[in-house]
Amino acid sequence: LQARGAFTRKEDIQKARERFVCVAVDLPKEDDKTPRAELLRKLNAAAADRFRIHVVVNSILVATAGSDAIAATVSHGSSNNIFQDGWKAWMKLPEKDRKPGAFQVEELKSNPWPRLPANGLALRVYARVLERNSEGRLCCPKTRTIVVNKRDIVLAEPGRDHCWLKEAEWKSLLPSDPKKGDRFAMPAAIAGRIISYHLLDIMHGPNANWPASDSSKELTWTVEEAGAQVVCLRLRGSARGVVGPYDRNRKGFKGVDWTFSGYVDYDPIKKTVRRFDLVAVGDGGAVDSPAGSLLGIAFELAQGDVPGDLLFPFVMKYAGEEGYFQAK
Amino acid sequence: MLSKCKVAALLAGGCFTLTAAALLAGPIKGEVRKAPSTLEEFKELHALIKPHRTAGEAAWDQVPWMTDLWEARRKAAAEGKPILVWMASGHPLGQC
Repeated sequence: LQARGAFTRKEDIQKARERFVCVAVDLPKEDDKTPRAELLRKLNAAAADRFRIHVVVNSILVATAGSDAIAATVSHGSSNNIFQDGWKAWMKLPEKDRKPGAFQVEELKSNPWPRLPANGLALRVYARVLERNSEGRLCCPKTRTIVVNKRDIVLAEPGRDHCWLKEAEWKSLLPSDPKKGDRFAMPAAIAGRIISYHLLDIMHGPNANWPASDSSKELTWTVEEAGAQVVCLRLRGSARGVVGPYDRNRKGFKGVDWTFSGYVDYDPIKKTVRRFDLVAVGDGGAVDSPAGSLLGIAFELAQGDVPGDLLFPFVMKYAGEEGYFQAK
Repeated sequence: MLSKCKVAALLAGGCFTLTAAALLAGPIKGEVRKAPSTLEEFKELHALIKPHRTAGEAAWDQVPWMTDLWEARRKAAAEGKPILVWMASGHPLGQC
């Protein structure tokens, strides 16, 4: 989250696009011994040794194709000079080491990360702390910046994650013969996935307070339109007393009450989902936020037009694909 | 005692800090009720939670990030470019 503050100036983004090959990576788990994980550890160790930085937290470093770290920073604000320093360090290298094809990178089997199941649906998930104004309407907190390392001011953006649904799961939302006004309950697999793993305050970092469970839920879809071109579904409902494993130790905590609303549009001709927009607002969902305890979660279709759309749900890193898809 | 230079530097730093904060905290419009009853209200709430690009959020999305360091090395070697590695405990483009 914090390092996003380094990418606030247009000129820096332009430099990143033009001068560098940019890659964003998650630090591997300790038991991950694959070549990719070992390479990251090697880069981390080299950067820590050479630049005396603690790279376990957010960091940005510049490396050669041969995995030699030549510049690094943990400064997260817009004042950081990694783009300039990294480029200078690169240009200091002998020209023969910089020219295209100077280094040969060995072949490696495709990555072992989870892939979206065939014909599955990938959703972007955003989480943002909200406030209520004097009229009781929801709005963004007035203070939207956080200070990192006692010096860098960065924007507190919505936290991000991804939600995956298997083909059979999203298809279970579609009535076989939909008629306007039909009502039906949210399929258990989808409700379970969302409540167990995606109603989390992830605005200030990863949150492992999962799987959560609810004391009751009433999530109802209504068919608002059932034409030949489109089937429109409307979600309304609530999940009450949602409690994660860490919450169970909080004295007097009775869980978060979430209010849901959403729209799904299905194209019967192309047999595709055009829209999958959901919102959940939870009073008590935000964790230790000075702005209050209201948390909003938004879901939308991942269109595949940004690199992050290829990421798997964060929970899968620890729960595995099986654990994630088994949530009830 | 602080020298004049140090005072000037601190003031300049303070000004920068305030300016940076002001720039980063651009206006975010929109206020909605808790449970939207119309499509328009729903759209407002949905948009309120998502990144506000006009307010400077998610600027890093404009960088063509790769997600596989090995593939990035191959591309960098072929194009004769350095690699900018953004690393975090949690994925920088996702939950981190």
